[in-house]
Amino acid sequence: MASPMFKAALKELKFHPARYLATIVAIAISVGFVAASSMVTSTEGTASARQLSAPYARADLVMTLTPASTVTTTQAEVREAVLTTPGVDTGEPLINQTLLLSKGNLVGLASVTVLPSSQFLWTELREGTWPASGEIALNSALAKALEVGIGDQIDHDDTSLTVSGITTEPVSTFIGTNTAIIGPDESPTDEWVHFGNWVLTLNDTVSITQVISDLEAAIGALGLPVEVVAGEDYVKEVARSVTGDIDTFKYLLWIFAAIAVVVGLITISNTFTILLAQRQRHIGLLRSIGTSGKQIRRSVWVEALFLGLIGGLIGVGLACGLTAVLGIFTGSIHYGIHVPLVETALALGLGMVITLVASIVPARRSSKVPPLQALQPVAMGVHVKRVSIVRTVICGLMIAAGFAGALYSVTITDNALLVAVLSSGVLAVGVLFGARLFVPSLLRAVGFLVRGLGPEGSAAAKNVIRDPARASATATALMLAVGLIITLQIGAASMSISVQNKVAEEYPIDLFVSSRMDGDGRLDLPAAMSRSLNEISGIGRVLSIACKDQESVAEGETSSFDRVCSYTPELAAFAPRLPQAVPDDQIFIWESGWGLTEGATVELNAGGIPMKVTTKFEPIVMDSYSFVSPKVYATLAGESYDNALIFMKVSEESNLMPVVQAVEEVVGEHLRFAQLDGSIFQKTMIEQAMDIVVSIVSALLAVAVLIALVGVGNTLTLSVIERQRENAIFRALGFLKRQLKIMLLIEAALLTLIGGVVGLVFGGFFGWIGAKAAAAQFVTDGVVLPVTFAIDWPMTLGLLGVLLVASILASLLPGRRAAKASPVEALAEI
Amino acid sequence: MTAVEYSSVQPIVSATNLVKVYGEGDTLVRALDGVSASFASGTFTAIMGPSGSGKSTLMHCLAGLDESTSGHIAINGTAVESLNDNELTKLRRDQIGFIFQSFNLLPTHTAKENILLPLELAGTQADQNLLSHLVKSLGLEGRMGHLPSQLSGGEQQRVAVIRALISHPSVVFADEPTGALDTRNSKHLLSYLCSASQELGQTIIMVTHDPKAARYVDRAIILSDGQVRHDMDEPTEETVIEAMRHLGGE
Repeated sequence: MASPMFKAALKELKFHPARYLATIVAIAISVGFVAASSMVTSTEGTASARQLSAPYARADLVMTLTPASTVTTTQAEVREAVLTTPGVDTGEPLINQTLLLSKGNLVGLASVTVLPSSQFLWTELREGTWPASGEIALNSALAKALEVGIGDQIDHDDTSLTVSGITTEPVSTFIGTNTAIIGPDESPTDEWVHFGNWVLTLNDTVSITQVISDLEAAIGALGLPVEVVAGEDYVKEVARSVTGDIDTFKYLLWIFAAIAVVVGLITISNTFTILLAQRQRHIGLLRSIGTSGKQIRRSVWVEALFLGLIGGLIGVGLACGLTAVLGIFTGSIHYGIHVPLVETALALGLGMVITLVASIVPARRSSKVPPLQALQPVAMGVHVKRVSIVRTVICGLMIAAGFAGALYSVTITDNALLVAVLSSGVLAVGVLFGARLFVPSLLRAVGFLVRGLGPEGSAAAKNVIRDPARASATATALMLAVGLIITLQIGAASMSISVQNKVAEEYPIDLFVSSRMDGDGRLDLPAAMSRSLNEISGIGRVLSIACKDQESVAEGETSSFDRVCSYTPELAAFAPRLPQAVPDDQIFIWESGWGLTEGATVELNAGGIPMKVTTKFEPIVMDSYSFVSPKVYATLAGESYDNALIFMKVSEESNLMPVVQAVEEVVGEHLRFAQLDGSIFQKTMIEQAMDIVVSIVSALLAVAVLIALVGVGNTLTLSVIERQRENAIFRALGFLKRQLKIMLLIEAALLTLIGGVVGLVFGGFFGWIGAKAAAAQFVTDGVVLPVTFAIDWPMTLGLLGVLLVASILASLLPGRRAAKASPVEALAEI
Repeated sequence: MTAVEYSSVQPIVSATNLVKVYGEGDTLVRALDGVSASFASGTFTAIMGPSGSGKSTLMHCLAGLDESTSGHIAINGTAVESLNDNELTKLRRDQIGFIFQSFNLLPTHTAKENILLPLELAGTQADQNLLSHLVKSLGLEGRMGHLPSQLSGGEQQRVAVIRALISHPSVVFADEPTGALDTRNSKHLLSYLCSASQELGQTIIMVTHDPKAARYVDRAIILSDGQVRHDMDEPTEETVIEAMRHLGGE
């Protein structure tokens, strides 16, 4: 449709491309995120499926043998049964195992297959030859990881293998396994039946369904459960199972993409509001020469769809690029880039739809302005519009209800997570839609503080609240994005600390070395070890514990070689949670240690005199160590090993890895009889796992933050265009260019700060509520995991820092533009 | 052509051989074509002329808002063309007051904040006596806390007048100050500027196309096609109209 409105819309795009830049960026990022989620998962999934099914691609039939409890069948018998089945041409087992290969101290996990006959070989050699017996061919990534080439030796357990060739097979991220092929192994294969998959080819003399039923009968007669499927069906099934896994991942990505889209929607809608406000005179002119309101609206929609299309295409391009880069990185590019056409088209459509949706309200508003009013000189007024009472009431109720629900969720254990999520959702929606109710007041309050920064500060403070709706929308986008990241970080940090505390309670000793059992019982640890451990920086205290081997009698049964140790006051003081002392008539045992209940009576050997103590569960180190008071200990028979256990307290919890490594090194010298253990290992594992989850999800949410920041820059840029005249007055009255730039910088910082801090506060609340509610799911013995509120300070402050720096960057371009305007041009009386 | 020397005292503002050219080739326009003029301290001068005569360009150049193509401008002994942007900005801030046709008050600032902004920028304190005198004499008592959107046009322009006068500038430039005002407010404003010049000794240079303004000023310079055509002392409405009529042929 070449209507005048369409042309007008295109002209707007043509003559003011810069005004649309931020919008296009926002659309491109949103669409790109959605499209990249599909493309990356599809490409990686296709690659994984192709890699996993490659060995079966040349088989007409795949036969799967399932192990039965007692099998005496040999491989030769199975082979015989297969080959004598009418219609079967060839058949052989595809023997595959995941093995740990090593070269020196380098290790690599690989899916290793025994070299099949040439017709079933699915990969090619890059160099070298196929492996003979005692040889192995590796894929290049594995060869690189082990730093080996052709002719080198690598080890698997006690076997040494010579590398004979390098295959072209890539490693794919999603499964992430390397592959290798080893030479035919003459040893056990003929005697044992190989369970797993056999690959067969047919000679077309008998129908495939007939072969399948004959095979099932023949193998079944050997007493083996069997399943036979056509090769292509097997390949499809592999692909389907991989796709199933990868789709879950894709849907997860889409959740984050959806968040980015919502933030994008707010940003784009804000842009249209500003663009159309600036165009008010132009619209008035069009209206007065006979353009209908409907035509105006249509022209805006055309503009929106066009913008959505341009931004979307850029986004799809970005997604393709990202997928290719990732494919090169993971090796999946080997199987080609896979672009799911329907999903990509939907992503593109989504870009156009969100842009259109974002333009609807602004378009309606501007087309309703009466022509005469629109034609009046644009009043540089301050837009003071009341917030509707309906909105105030609804948002107020949502905030109150959400808050109450969230607090209630803390007091219950049943369905706590559900209540917490629902009420947090209600609260979040209330806060976001009600931003208009409190953001202007917050801006005013903070603005009051920056007034001290001189005329720039006070001008910025005034500018930033001149259009409360716009400022609120800009801050809301940021609030949403930052809020989600903080929710996640604080939730994860709180959970992590709480679980770590729980671990510390169950395993109170950070690190301890115990002596291994050998044929003669447990030995003493060398005194030198305790000294060396003491010298490691990061180890705060080292304590040697004396133990004796005891043959004890409990409930009529004698247990041997359990160690009973002295619970000294030093030990009691070693960790904060440990009890002060063991009463003389008690023995601390590990929970269910010795197969005893709490309160059972144990007879210890005190030089021939039985010594009776009552058991009490007290987790200290592990089940084979029990503790009695020093007084009881002294009376016990047997040799006292003064270094039976060495306890260590870590003083530097923030940087554990080097400390643990140093300890491992010392203990490693005595590995034959010493064993290292302690809660530090669990703690670091929890911490690392949480860190990985938080990092990945933060990175995904960072896209939303990025869009929100583009929104800040956008609002400023458009404001600068709108305030060109005003900035000229500032300049005429004596504002230096620098002062004008500082003014904009303060405006950006104020918007970012409010959006960021509100996001931080509510995100923190949601994170805490979420951690509380999640903890309610982990009830052990009727006790809910107590949750400690924890903030990952470096990460949180880092985020705020990044936001402030980004807001400064966001103000640079608008600032330059504002400063460039000559006072005369802008003051021209036309 | 050359301006009359009013006194032996050095003029506050002087322009020598000012040329301002816009565009190039076919679109070349000589907005100022060799203008020389001096403005003595305490005088109230009107720069008049038909549309496109170059009067606004002259004012913009004199006030350091726009750069001239060639020629020399001095404000209170400072050569304007030698200043960089920051120095020019400071010159405007410290030595010059502005009154614009469209008032140009900052919409986000109250009347009082608008008035005090130039002082705040310069880091100086307001002369409270002068402020209350100006507010009183312009009838703006009780309006100081209002935003421009809450003031009438006449009131807004009077706020702009106070903003121009408050910092004791060497010279006040007024660009069509009555352009957006009704007759009554126009008369009131012009007579106020006249009295400011006489009582406060304020140098004022005003661009206007309104011959009625002639009787309030000490001197009228009439421009046409970028050149000074008349320079008359103690002009009247009639003499100005007469002078303008003679430009009419072009």
